[in-house]
Amino acid sequence: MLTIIKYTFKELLYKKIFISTLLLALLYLGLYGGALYMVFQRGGTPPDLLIRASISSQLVGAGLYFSTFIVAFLTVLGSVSMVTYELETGILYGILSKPITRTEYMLGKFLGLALMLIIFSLFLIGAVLGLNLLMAGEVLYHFKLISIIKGALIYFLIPLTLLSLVFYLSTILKPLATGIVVIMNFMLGIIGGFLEQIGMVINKQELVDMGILASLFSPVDSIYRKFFSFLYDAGQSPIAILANGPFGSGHPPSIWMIFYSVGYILLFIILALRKFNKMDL
Amino acid sequence: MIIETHKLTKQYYGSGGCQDISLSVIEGHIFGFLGPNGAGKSTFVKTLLGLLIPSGGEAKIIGQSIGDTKARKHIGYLPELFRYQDWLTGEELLKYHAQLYGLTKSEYQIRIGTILDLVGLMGKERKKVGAYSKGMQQRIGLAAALINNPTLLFLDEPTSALDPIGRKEVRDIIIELRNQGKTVFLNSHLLSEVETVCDEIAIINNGKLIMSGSWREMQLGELWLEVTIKNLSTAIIEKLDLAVLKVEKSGNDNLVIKIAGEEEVNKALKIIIDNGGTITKIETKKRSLEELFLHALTKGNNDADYN
Repeated sequence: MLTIIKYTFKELLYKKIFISTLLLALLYLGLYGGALYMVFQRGGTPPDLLIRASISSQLVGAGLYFSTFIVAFLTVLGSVSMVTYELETGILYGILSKPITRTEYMLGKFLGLALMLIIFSLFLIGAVLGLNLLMAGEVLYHFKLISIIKGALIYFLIPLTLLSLVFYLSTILKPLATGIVVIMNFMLGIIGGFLEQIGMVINKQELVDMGILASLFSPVDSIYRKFFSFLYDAGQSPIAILANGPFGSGHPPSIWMIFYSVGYILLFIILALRKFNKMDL
Repeated sequence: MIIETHKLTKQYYGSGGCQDISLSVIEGHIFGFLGPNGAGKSTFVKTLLGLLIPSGGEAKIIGQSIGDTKARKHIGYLPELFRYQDWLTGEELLKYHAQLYGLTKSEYQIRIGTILDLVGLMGKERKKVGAYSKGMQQRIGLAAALINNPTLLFLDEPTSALDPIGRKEVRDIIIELRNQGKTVFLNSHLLSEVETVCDEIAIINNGKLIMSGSWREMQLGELWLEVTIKNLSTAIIEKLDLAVLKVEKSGNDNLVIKIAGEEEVNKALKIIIDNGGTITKIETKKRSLEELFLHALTKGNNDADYN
């Protein structure tokens, strides 16, 4: 299985989609860094420290939130044809006639992609926080290392959730259809997350319920909100209120949502393995 | 037996594929698996290798049930419609396949050099597989199938993209593998290729096994004599008709006589001479695989003539 992991990782590096996403991510970080410079270094922002800190946390939220989109698109576009391409071109014949099981092959592919996505996610989180530290300086919330680590561990569930769904759908659909379904699923989660946050703010339970329902289909937004609440030590820090906002975690989901997400990932991996093990290649 | 199948069946939604295939392959032999396009040859091989889930029957390869990964450590496979990771170089591809077999670095480093030399790709191993010509891709595919020094090698149309020189080289490799005691399961519709190298053959059509056995015995089983006779009479033809498998007049003084084997040559000639014929020319002709193949396909399951 280690061989499959190693070569899957290597393959993604060779793919144009990875290079393109990396370049776009750098462009995004450039723009984001430029915006932070304009806000914090060029003057004109309110002198009040609390307001400046609040602006800073909103910008951290926006930076991380839109990074999630980049991670999501890399996850979907980088993995959507990984298995089906090898199946359709007959590459799989040469691989699965070797002494490895289909389960080892699929898990190897999954782990190879997951490893790459985790590294990419870490890079983006690190870059966004680093740019804020550089530009916002003293007004930036003092993140604890342990909070960043805990948050990152939660954040990794975002690409893994989407990846597990891609893996399962790859065994039943064509790559294009898989890509469309997973992107739509991701968007459903995002919209659901916003509905839930708005429902909480205006105290409208129906909206909250709709958001929760959407989260069950696509837990990405819930995972993001939980990650953000971990980052800002929500519930423990007196200034955690800074984490509120459209991209923040004013009303983070319960920890059960994280368990649900782990179950979601495992379920789709198991379904993908069951289907793949019974498939004619 | 290195391969044994009993009523092995793979059908797609109840049709196509291969049905009730029972055959045995002796270790150290080259086994030719013949059939027209779409006969079910590749389906059979893929089922044996666990790439297709069988609909019925049983099979064992190297003493293990199909689908068991232990046996695959000793199997090499060159698929028919294959493609390899075109982003890897030839050498990287071979490393990848060696690692999939669980070979250590020291094991595969020596092996890669030997194999590249064998398939004629030495010096081209640092080129990307995507930049290889069709023939080179077939050669690298063969190299990948041989990287583990397999006991049993499945070759599915191994020379389809090769020029005549390349075909000859692959045939030589196959014969060399037999000399090393390896078993080769050769899936092909190129009859001349099979005829030259195979010890045993099986013919499949419409998913069903029509015949199988030793190619040498099949060849020995029948013989054609083309005899030019001075004074050819009806009596000669009538007497021969009773003694041989078949006799046909061809032209004024030619007879084409089908006999059961070499031991009947004298008998047939004696009948001609005893009945006043003077033999001026004799030609013997063994049955070609093409004749056997075409006959088998047209006669369907009626293989009594050959066994």
